[in-house]
Amino acid sequence: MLEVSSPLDARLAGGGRDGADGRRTLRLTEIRDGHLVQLGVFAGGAGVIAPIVEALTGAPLPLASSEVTVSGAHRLYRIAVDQYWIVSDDAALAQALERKIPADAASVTVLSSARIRIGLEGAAAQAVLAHHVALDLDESQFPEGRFAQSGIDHAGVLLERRGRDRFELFVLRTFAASTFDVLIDTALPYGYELGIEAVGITSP
Amino acid sequence: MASGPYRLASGGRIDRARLLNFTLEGRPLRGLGGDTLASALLAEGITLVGRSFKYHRPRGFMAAGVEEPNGLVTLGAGGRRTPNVPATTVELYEGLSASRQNGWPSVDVDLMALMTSLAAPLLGAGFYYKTFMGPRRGSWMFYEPFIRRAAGLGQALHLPDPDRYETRHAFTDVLIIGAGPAGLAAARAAAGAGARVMLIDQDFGLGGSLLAAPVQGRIESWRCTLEAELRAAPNLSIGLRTTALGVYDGNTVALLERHDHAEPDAHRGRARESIITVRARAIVYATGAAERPLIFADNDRPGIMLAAAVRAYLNRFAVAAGRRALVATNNDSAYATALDLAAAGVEVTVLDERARPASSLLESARGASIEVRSGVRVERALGGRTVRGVEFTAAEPDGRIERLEADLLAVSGGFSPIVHLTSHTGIKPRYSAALDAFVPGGYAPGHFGAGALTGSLTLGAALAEGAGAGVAAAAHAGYTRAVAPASIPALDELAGFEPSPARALKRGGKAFVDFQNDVTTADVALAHEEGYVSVEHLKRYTTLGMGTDQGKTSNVNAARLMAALRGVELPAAGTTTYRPPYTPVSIGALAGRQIGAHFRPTRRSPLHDWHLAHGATMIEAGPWLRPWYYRWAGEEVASAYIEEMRLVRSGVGISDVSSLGKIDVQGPDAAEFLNRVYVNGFAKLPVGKARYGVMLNDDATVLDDGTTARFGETRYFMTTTTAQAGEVMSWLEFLLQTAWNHLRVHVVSVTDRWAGMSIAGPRARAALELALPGVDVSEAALPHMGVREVELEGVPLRLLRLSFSGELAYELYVPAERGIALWERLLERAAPLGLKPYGLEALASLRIEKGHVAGLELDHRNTLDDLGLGKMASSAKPFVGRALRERPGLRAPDRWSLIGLECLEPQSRLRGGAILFAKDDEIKGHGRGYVTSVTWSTVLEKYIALALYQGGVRHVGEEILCAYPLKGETVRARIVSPVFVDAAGERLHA
Repeated sequence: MLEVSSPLDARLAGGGRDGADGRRTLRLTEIRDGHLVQLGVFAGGAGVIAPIVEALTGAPLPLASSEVTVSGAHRLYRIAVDQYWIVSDDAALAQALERKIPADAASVTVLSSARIRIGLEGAAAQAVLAHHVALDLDESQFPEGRFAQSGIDHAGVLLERRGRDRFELFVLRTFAASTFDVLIDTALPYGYELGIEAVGITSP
Repeated sequence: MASGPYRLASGGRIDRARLLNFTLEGRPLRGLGGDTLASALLAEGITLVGRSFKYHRPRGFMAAGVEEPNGLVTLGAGGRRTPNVPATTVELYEGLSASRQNGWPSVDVDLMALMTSLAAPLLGAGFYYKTFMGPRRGSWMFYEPFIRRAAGLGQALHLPDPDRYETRHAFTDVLIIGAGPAGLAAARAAAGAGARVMLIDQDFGLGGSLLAAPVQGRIESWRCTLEAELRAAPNLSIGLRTTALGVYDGNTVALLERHDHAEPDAHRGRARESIITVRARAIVYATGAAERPLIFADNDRPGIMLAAAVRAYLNRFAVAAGRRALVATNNDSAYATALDLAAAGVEVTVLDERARPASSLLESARGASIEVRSGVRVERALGGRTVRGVEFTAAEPDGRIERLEADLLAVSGGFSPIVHLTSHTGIKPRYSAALDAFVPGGYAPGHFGAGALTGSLTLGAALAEGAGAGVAAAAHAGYTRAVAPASIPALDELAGFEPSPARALKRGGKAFVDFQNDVTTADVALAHEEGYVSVEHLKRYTTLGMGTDQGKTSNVNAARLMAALRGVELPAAGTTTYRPPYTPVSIGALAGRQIGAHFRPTRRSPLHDWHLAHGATMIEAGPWLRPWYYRWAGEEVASAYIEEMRLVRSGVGISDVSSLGKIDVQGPDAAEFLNRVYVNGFAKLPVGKARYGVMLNDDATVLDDGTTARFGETRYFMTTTTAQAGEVMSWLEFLLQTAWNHLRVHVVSVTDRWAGMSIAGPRARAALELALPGVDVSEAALPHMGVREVELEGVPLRLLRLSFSGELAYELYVPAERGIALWERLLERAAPLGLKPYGLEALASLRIEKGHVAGLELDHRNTLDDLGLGKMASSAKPFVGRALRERPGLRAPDRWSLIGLECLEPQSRLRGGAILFAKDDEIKGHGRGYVTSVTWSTVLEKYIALALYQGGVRHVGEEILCAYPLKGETVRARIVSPVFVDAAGERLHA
């Protein structure tokens, strides 16, 4: 059995740290076991793949490039005019998409291991992110369900608000340790805890 | 409790219960909560706060804010030492340590003052350009260190700064810069309209000029009520100790937030300073105005201060800056200072340049027992280390010189609006005759101004304009809720002003225009005599307006002088161009946390942790950290990489190639796309095969090389060099989005998806067979350039039979999270065959032996033919770069092109970057080429190199010279084929 490893393994074992006022107002986690597929739609292909995607995920292809479409365990993001991400708990989804989507309608690329998913939760989550992303994260401007593509420490990230005090980042795997180090450094004055979340399971 | 002999027994906005200990050059002193360093020093009676830049004249505080030109101090010690900080802006805190600047051996006893007073006649503007140029060319280099040592401000340091600095972003509907009366009114209005409002001020209190008003007055109670209202507003944030440094495109404003008062502690994450990048939908400038000094002889004596500053020290800090005061003015505002001083028990005389001040002012003065001498002009200040009085010209027709004693001279020459920030947007300031100064020449869309900035110097006007600007800014941001008008205190205000006419002084002595740079009226006159006409020229010639205060008190006076000398109106003399930053900013704040390990992001292979745990020494390769060599092969790279090379040439080794760029190319037109991108044919590459390809920039220089494998009818897996991966990806996307947007192809970077490893050496196949028993890697199943996609325990595994080293070799790709597991399995199971890891140094050396080009040769200057790859180019199809490839310059026979070099001196070595010369050439200039890559060859047992040489392999067999001037070396070498090992390619099929 080829065991799974993460670039954050050593870091997550490091434990948390109290902030300047003795509190811990941020929980930084790696979210594991999710799956990510990228679809690249060719000209005229949207009409072909939309019903296939909807049949497999229960969600229509999103029109907006800033809001997530959610159906059960599937989250759909329009990341470019002709490109979509599907984040899912379903390990079989990628193969189903590859099998059903005609090659002349869209490309299907599995990116599950290409991204590390990081959760930021707590009162300091928004403040920590504000040190890095030039986005107005005020809840009135960036409510739950909104996502944006930005950068942290020069590496591209996809950022989604998952709750009033919760955000998730999709970070390039080879930059993930570096990005995580930067987040920990930023979180120092706020205090933080570290942990791992599997899809549907949260562990300390 | 009072602290210091000049502290008043009552009044002020200070916390008398909070005693703060601080030191000045180690001398223990005490101030109070709410003090600035300047007010605490004045309370202690310390008026000599520094020595001037050039003449080392004694100087005292002139101002009470950021415009202070004289009172610059050095704060802190060790790595925290910060020079050139205006003491007027430093909020006092417990334990603060400060020292004054530019005195030798001390500011109190400064021997440099004596020397410079003797040399003063030589030290006019531009003196160093004229005086220290001879007797020989280059003499300036001799003089310069002495001049710089004699003149200057604080000392910079070379120690690491232990403090933490941060940067962050902020967004708001309305940003209000300045929390004086106009800013407060604007904030109330904008917040009331429903906008998100950010109100910032460089001070640590809200109120601006209101803080200089008597604390017992009705203005103060009104200010307190308004402050409470603003602090309670949920949509309004207040940022004190925050300076707007610059305004940029897109309503972006850079703020500097200071935390020195809050015990910054890097270990607990508490920053000393933060840079905030604010994006605002609308901006209100309420930046106020700075008072101008009057110009007369010796106007720089300590104890001569701006009238508004004297009032601020008196009413805000409860410090009377003198016992016997003179107030010299050309406007009404200074009367408030005179009245407040008198109310505090200070004996006051007003010297008003105007012949007929307003009767109400005279009446108020009379009521406070203040003598007013109108129609008089100060000619000279008396005193040395502190002012002792003045000589002034009495009113006409008498016109005689009179003298008055005083230890404090408050001066007011009018007000100059702070137009710096509005000018950052590129809008030039406009002259206002009413102020005899410059006001904003307009505003960018969504920008608004209010208060003294616009020339409205009364409180009533400031409040009305502020409220209007707040409403307008909120509306611009989309918020139009009606706002109840604020209650405004009824005030009887005067703002009369008569500019001081230009005139010749009746008393000798230096009359300073720019105090920080020691620029006098004589310097301005000299500049004019020497042909300088514009204020911009004046600035460069005299340094007027430079330095930490950027001429906040001097620019307008200088422009007036230049205009008078030229016989033109002030606008014709112009004003300087204001650029960010508005006030000095530390390098640490600009850097933020991007220091040390966070200077730039680091890219790590999926196998990184294994390398660290197993003795790898890592090396930076672009953004990547890669294993350089492993401890099993040696403790030093020089010996270890040779051992690792021997392993691959004679047995089998494994290396991490995860950093190679990997691109998923998919679509019905993918074959056509690749056929156009690569110089060689890809249209007919069968499924299950890979092909080496080269791609060009459209100017026909080589962009990159790599291998692309076909895993399906419409699916390809491209690999690129590590160095060019990003560039190739961008190039492919560019072509698909512009030149060939009709092609149905998508490219996706999958560099992060796959962990890559190369197994190379004569025993490579045996190693794989041992480690992966279920996977057929036989010659039949996986021939040279063959590829397979299999599943290993449910995990996809891609095998490509490719070689970079020239040995039998395979590349394996597995999903990144399984990389370490596969790597460990291979090492463990193939251990009986001696499989061990090898690092980047060996990897790069093996390719040199084989003559494969890499990043050092692919520098975007070389053509296919330069690199010996010309025969790859297809003549049967078009490809990117084909047309420009035929340019005569790129076909010239004497272009620098790829050769191999063998070192002919056994005791010497070749070096990368060495310049190549023909055997009989003089070692001079750029030579005929240079060495790109060097290694010790384990096969040939000598140093070998790849190089670019004029004429290339036409010179095979010739002996040449490799010069390395940095070490004074010249080594003989012979030109050979760049393929040093296995030119026939037999080892690939071992």
